[in-house]
Amino acid sequence: MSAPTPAAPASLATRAAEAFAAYRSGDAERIGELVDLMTPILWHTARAQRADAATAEDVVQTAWLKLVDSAENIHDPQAVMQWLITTVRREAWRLVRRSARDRPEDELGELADPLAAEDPEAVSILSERQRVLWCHVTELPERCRELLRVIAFADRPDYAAIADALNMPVGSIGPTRGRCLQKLRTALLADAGWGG
Amino acid sequence: MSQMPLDPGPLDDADDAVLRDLRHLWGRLDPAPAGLADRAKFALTMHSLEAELAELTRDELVLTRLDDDVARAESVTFTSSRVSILVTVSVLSATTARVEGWVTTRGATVRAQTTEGELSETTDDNGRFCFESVARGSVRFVVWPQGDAAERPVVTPSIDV
Repeated sequence: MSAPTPAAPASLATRAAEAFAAYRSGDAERIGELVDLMTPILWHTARAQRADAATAEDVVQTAWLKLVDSAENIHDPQAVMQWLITTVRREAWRLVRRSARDRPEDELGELADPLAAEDPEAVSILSERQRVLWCHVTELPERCRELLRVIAFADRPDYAAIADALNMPVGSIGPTRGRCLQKLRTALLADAGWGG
Repeated sequence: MSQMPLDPGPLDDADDAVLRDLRHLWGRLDPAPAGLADRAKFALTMHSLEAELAELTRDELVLTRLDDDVARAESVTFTSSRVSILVTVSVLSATTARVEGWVTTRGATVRAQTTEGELSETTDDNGRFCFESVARGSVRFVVWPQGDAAERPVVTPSIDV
């Protein structure tokens, strides 16, 4: 008989739910734990919408204030991760579109993902293996990059909920690999520089 | 090397490995700003207390800005519309410091929020308060000028002691 497998560590959504439930039942300090847990994924959610750094920061801050004001409306603590990602995505999307409208026509091109263009300075800090990965990531459709960027900061049980929060079709990822990750895997497999 | 099926299968360990690599990649290329979580927590504290933010006034003694959020201080003054707060810090050891101060109101409640927890003191008739030993690191003060828990508190920016 094999030894019982140790329980898998709780996923991001579950850890967030625990902190949020404790906060809501009166342990005010636990909101700090929720902020620490969720800040990286919320930052990447905003940046994946092509928000510039200042906008991304504002959007994340605003989402937290909205959360504490709507805490009573979130019936299932397990949904708090999804609620935050949805809130950040919508607000970032709105602000990015608004600033695009205010821009002269010839500057619209700058709306392109700042990281999609090969930035020599940014790429220079990457390892060789990361450069190979980055090269294939930039070849993916934008929606795929957005999805992979956000789920990379969560755990497998959370992927389907995140895809939903990003307004991606059901089955984009989790429980199956989905089209985006499949594309990337196929490209990496065909690249001798990746090496498994 | 076997060709992957066109129909994407269930997520496997190799997917986990690629996603871990992606996490490191984006964490490297475009990490969340170091102070973002702390700024969010501060905003939440202010929001929950409906607090007024005191401003850090440059003091002639020693005050060096380290970055946008934290100033290393020996003596600093904070001002708001209702109260001014002078704080003097003496380092006791690598981990502790003594924080002494004056508030322009008597009987004010002063709370020091440190990374290790919270301490509270009430000012004496001269407006003086003293925390004999606080954990070194980032500290901010929450002041109820009349010592009334129901009044709107004044919150200072963080200082590094």
